[in-house]
Amino acid sequence: MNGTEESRRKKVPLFASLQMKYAMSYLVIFAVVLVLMNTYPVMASQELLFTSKRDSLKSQAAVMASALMELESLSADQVVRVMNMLDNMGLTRILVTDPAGLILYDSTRDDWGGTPPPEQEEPKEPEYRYALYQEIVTALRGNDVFYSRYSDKVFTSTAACPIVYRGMVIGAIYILEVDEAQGALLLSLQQNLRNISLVIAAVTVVMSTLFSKILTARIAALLSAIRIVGEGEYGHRLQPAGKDELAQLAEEFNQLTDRLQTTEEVRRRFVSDASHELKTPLASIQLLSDSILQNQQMDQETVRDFVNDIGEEARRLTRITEHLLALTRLDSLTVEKTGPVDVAGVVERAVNMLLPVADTAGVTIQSAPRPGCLIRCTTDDLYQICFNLIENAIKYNFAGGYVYVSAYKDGDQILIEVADTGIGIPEEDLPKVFNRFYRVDKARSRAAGGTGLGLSIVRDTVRRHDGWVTARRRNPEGSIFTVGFPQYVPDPEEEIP
Amino acid sequence: MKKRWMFLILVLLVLAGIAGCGRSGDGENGEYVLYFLASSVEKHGPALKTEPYAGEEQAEPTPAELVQALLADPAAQDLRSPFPRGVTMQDCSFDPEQPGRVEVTLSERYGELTDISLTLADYCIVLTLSQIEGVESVEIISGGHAAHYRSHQVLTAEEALLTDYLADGTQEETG
Repeated sequence: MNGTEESRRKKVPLFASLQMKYAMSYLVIFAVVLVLMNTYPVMASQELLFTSKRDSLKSQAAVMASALMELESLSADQVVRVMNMLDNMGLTRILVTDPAGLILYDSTRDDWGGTPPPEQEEPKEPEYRYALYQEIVTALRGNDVFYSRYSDKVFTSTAACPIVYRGMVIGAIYILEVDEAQGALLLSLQQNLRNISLVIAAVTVVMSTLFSKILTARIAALLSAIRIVGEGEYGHRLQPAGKDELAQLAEEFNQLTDRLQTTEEVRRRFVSDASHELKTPLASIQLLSDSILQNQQMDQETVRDFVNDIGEEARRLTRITEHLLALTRLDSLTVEKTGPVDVAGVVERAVNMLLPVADTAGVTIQSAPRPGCLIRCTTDDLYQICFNLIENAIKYNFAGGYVYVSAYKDGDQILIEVADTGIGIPEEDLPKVFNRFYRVDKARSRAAGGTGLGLSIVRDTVRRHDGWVTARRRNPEGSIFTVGFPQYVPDPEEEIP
Repeated sequence: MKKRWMFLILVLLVLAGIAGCGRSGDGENGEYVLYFLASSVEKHGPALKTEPYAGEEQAEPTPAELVQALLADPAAQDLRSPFPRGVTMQDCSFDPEQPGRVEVTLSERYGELTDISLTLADYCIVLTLSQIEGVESVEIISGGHAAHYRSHQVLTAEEALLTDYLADGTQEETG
């Protein structure tokens, strides 16, 4: 896959991108707000106006009805006389009917109750008009009624109520109000809200694009940094900006990359050191075998010495590879099932195992582990730790020197101390002694058959069991290695193997 | 080109035909309607509403047929009959002395109606019969006499105002 294909594969489609999702979520939220802003206030105002009109019209109708009920029975002339005395209160139409719905008064008709016709004119035939509107029918059946609607920028409201005299419905009054002023007011409110909404919508589009761009730009930078580091450029770092989660993410990324870089450097150094360590015995073997092959006149004694050296180098190679394998196992494998282990027993076993070596080197081992020191570990791991430390103390000792091994309880910890009267470790080398392939005195180490991995194995093993290990100088000579583990406190009924 | 014009005209004719068929019956195009009381749930609008008369399509109904149909209950759920239960038609015919006037004689139970109920029932009959060509006015008699508490006895469709044109922005609808 070439670079173009790779970048195409990694390019996120616009509509699937985080930026688009952020922008869309902002837009959706604002759209909902705008819809609410454009509907709720208008509906509430409309409802308020309806309520106000209902109260107003009902009270107006009631006032007229109470004026008319004084008449006892309604006739057109009497109704016209009363109605002319009343103010029409800005109403578009007022109708008064008798109990049958016959219109007795209509405010929109000039001829109704106007000036009486001149005497020379022939009297008009009576005109019968029945108002068969729902409002009037309902009122004539004894109920008040109100109706209002807002359409075509106009509020149209009607109200009707019965005219009751001594419990009898003697007629009905119907009033109509067509209110263009309030309608225009509501329309103006609607238009203002719409204009404001348009401005907000435009600002929202711009701001959501901007914000989502800013937000996703940092995510894009993080993604890009991950890709760069993924390609092996471990020195790449992000510049954390701000104090939000993304800034924390950037910091975490930088720390992760730091660790990755360190690990990578350690790995490279380890591979280089391991190669070097393996190369040295191999070169010796090659040199010795070449010497034997090329020198035909070599005496038997020398050949034997050379072959012996070849065997030594081969054994060293075996030790190095075994130690490397042990370290690899420590790196990769999970901790085996652990249990309570009595430190004294394991220490004694390791001492007994190394007594022949110590005798050969002329070193005396003095061991005084206290019984009852329990830790949670595996017997093999603890043995490995003790063995490596005691072996080291013997190797880097002088003939006639001593190795002191002790195990005791200190607070809630169990400490194992291995002290020697050997060559000691310079102060500046103390922090490095646990590094892989680190040797204080390379020549002596090789001569003693050391691989430079024993203390690394000790440190890694100790850490796997939540312990710690330190090295310090011993007065007046030698070194002291201290290993600490949390003390294991068994249950009263628990049996310790 | 000529063919295209002919096709266009044909399409227009078909559309015009469909539009014509879609018009509901309100007395126009020979379709007759019956007037009943509108649902009392409605607060606004005409108190009388129509439903199509389900008579023979081709033949023009007689006044008696329309009154008979009117005395039956309406088919639509949202309409109600204005007549008391048990009202029957005894006679319905053109008055030979008064051209254009139909005289409707109903049983005595019709006389139980008063005030607005009587007006609504009267104008259901008047508005329904006035669709018939030649009917100008209607006189309603029950139990052998006219109701004396009516304002007048000869009723015309123009007297019934069904909508307030000022409220609904339309021309005042009368029968």
